[in-house]
Amino acid sequence: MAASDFVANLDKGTWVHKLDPRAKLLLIIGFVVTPLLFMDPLYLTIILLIGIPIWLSAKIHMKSIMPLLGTIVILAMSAVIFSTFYNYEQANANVLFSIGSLHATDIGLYSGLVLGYRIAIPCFMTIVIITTTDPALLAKGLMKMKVPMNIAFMFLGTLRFFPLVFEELTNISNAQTIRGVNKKGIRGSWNSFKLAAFPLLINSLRRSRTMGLAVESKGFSKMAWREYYQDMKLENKDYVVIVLTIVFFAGALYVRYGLGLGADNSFIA
Amino acid sequence: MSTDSIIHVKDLNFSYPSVEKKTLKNINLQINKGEFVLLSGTSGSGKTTLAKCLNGIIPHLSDGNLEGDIVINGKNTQYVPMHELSSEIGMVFQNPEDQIFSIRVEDEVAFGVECQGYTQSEIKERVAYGLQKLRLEDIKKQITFSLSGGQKQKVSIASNLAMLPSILILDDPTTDLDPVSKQEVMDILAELKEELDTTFLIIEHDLNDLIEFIDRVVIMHEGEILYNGRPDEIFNKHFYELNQLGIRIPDHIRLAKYLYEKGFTLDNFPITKKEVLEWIKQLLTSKKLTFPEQKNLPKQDNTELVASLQNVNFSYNKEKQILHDINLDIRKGELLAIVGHNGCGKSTLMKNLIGLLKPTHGDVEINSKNTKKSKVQDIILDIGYVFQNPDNQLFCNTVEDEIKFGLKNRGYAEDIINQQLELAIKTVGLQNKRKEHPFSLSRGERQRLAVATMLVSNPKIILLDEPTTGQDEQNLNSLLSLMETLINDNQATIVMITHDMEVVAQYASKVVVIDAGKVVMEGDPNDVFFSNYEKLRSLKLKPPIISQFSAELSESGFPHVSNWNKFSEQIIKNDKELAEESKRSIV
Repeated sequence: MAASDFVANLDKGTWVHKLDPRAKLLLIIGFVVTPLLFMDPLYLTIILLIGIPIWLSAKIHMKSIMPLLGTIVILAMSAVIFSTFYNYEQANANVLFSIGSLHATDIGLYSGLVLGYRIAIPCFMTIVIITTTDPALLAKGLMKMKVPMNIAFMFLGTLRFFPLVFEELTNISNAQTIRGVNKKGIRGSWNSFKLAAFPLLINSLRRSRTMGLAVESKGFSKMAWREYYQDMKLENKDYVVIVLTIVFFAGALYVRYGLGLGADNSFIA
Repeated sequence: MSTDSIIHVKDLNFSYPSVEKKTLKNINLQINKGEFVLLSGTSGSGKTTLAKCLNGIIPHLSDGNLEGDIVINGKNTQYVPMHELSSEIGMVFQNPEDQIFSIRVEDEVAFGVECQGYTQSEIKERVAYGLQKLRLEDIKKQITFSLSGGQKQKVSIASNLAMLPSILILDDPTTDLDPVSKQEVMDILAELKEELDTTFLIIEHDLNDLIEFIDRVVIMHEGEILYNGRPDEIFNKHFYELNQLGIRIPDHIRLAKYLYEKGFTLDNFPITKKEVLEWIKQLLTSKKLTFPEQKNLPKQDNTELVASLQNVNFSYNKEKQILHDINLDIRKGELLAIVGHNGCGKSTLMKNLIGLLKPTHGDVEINSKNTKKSKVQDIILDIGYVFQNPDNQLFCNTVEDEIKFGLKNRGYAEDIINQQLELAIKTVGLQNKRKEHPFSLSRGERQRLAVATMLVSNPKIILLDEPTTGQDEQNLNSLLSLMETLINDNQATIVMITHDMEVVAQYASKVVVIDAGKVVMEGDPNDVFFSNYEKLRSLKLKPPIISQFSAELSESGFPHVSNWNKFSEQIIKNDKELAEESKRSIV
């Protein structure tokens, strides 16, 4: 993954890209909190479907974020599989199929789906927001929302540093190949990771130290930020998204607590 | 203290925690408003530490024992907070990658100004000023990752200038840059000097262009200021001392000194290339100066091929082809330099050579193995690869373990491993450090350790990836001298990617110039630099100054040489008019 892949989606002019970072942050919060209200995979599927138009309209270049997407899918699938075979010891659990002494139960499967959705939905929506927003704007958005400056910039610094670490990791991996490190299989990968950890840490620390000094040399510690280079004004489309997010969240609350739906597994019940 | 003084350093001493030896000793320095000062010296002489003291990183962000006073524009750095100094004194660091914090050019330029708490209109005004001064308006929306090294360094300079500092320090700003980027930065600095009344303090090793527009030079050695004065004075009066210290004295200054030693003089010691060129031209035309005719030395004819690329084409995807019809023979005992600016395809060519990448068309044969038919793991058995950053290839806890690592991975017997370890550790001179942790070694030692890790497997071909980047002069020379020894003693073949044309001229037996994925020149560096001087310049590859003189003055009788060492060997050492002592001092 090259450094430029991390920012490959920044320069498209879709409405998602043009949204104010504060509207985007509210959207993320909406998609992080709402899945937590429901225990029914059906309702969680609906939440995911609501998020899909936002994904599609952001016209995200998939290749550049494939490794991230892949990691999320693996995490979510692992949650589903682990949960399906977890021994819940509940009387009403039906065994769907067995592999040796492992029994896949319906309760396990649905619990896994809930967990998988709760991992996947916030992550997918966070990806769409992060890949379409300039991190500096996101940090400034956080500051406008009264998040302490240090935290906002920690966030920006982390995003800035990712590509450097990836580049470093690629170089180390090439060096391992040339020095005959066996990287095949799980054991090989683990060994390769163990060997890479120290040089990666040392190199990253060195680079982060320089970056820290460069930032301090520009008076960061004065903490005097008042106004920003960019015009950070909420426009009509931002208000629309904010209102829709609030309506979406309020609607979810009403469905869950007003109508009492989505608390249990509709498939089993 | 003069009224014009903007930097005033008095009796400064500094030592880092747990280090007995002082890094800075008795520094007294005064710099006036608007001066352009070069700070140069040997590696570890305390230049960067002095710069950090000036901008307040020491003592505010870095511990140590600091004595004396540093006053910047009336403010004593020890008693005012770092952020207050930041609007007075800006600093551009060595590596452009590590100092840019923002994703977009204009945001980076705005960053420091925003930190100071200005209003939006002031911020915009200053960003526009910074962008305009560095000619960055056209790329202000671009993403910083996509910029060239030179553009990144220009963005760093702009982000500092936008804060309207009285002083700008540049700490080795071109060391990590390719020639095109280096030139970009030097050109803009020369322009800024004319346009602004900012005081510039630049730490730099490559003085070839810089020497022409600096007002003052300060030379440091072992924590002290040795010399401080006008460049023509310092380089004339202290030439021998500077030469002995290992300062990279530009070829034209060496030539001028040679002429002075021969008894020719001018009213002022010449400091620009143009002055020296015209002076020599005049001396040659008037026959006051003559050079002996050169004998053409027979060239070594090594016929054994160790690698060959035939019609190699390569592309990562269908849209963009990286290499076009590369044909190249690499012979045993050669030191082949592959040169070209960033993105021309040098690294891709190197990866194709060792089978990390396979050609889309054509064939690569290395050590009698076709890369398309052999596994990378088998090909690299006979190849040593020294990475640009040695820290990326060190994985163990002791120097010994590090050297043994590769052989252990390949399943060699313990007695063979130990035998090879002793040979390799002796070759690179790290016998006394065998139990130390690799990361506790100095940069030069880590580079030598990286060489030792590949020497153990007796590679027939050694690849050096940008060995000049981030290396000081002494470390680089010791690495390349080691390579010459390996060629002579072990009949090794060295392939080196570099953009340092002086290194090419001095060490390479063959040079291949790559541009846009094609081989555009190939041959002995002496011939290539002489016959293609203008073309190389158009490719923004600047051959050593002496080869420029050679190309431009050959008709007047200037010798056909590509580097200073050759000029010394062929001309100075054989000059009967010159006293032995003078000869020793100039070469």
